[in-house]
Amino acid sequence: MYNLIPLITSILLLIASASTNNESNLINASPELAVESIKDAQIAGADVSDLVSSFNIALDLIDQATKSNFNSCSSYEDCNEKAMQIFVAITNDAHLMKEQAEVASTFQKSVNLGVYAPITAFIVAVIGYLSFKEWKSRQVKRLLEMEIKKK
Amino acid sequence: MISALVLSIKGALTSRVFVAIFVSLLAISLSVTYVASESRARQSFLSINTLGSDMTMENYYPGETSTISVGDNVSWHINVYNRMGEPEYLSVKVKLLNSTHQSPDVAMNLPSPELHIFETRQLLMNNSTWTIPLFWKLTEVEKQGNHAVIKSLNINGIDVSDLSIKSAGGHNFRMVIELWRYDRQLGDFSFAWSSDSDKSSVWNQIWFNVS
Repeated sequence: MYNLIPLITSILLLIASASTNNESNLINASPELAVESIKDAQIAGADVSDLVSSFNIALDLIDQATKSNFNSCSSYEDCNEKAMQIFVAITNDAHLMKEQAEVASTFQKSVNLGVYAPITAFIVAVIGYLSFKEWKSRQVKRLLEMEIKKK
Repeated sequence: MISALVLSIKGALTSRVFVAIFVSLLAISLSVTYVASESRARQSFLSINTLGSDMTMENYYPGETSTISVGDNVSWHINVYNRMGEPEYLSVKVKLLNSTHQSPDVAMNLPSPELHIFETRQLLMNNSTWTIPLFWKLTEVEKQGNHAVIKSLNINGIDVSDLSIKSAGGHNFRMVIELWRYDRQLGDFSFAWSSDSDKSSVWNQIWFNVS
């Protein structure tokens, strides 16, 4: 019984913090923040085309709200809320994609530098060395087979 | 044959010449791989052009001349191209000016100080074109002596009123189309942007008369 109380308290605290995070994300959501996250993800090497499409859908919702021309939302508040939700999702997805792209890029760089480059250098060095030896032995053989002719 | 090759390779591995060749090639290979993995600088730019009703550089006006009357439907297409190397958050601002209003200044990278009558925004992927249809018509033009004064117009279905753009004889009105880009450092849209070592800006204008 005594062990259950701290467990339940921690769960409640976790739920509360999760809902607070969600609210603060909505407050912080903005097109500018989403643009910056998308750019960061793109610089890290992620494919951001889907995020860009979502962003433009959200911009269209804001446009509908501003012009009171409601096609895919019902009112000013509804349009803005939907747009903000999209911006939050974009910002979160972009952060995730940035991290994934950075990990993938670092791994690829390490493989290129640690595996492909030494293997390529080794193979080229072996071929080069053997070719040089073969050329040299042919030169010696040619020299040995030379005949002195009297003019 | 194979055993001879294996023997040659074994001999190669113990040779000082081979080690010297391998170390040199490894250094070159690592350098090339590192340089290739770094992003290369390319020429970056944004461009804008305005086309007529049939997406060509013709048919900008409803009639044969550049004179537009109240109620005439004008159809243009603005094309914006992004080659900045990353997605750009762009804004196109349309301004209605007469010949005495100050134009944007490309040398100083300054926009026209006049207020815009229409604005649209889009996040544009690198190496992509954004086409903005621009349908507009004059809804109210007032005659004041020798002058024609544009009082209101409709642009992409939105009424823009409270205008007072005046021109003698109804000549030399113009639509100025400016391209603005979201600047991360500034935290706002900016008319100019840095490309390579220079600052750049782009804009278009189309002249028309009013009857």
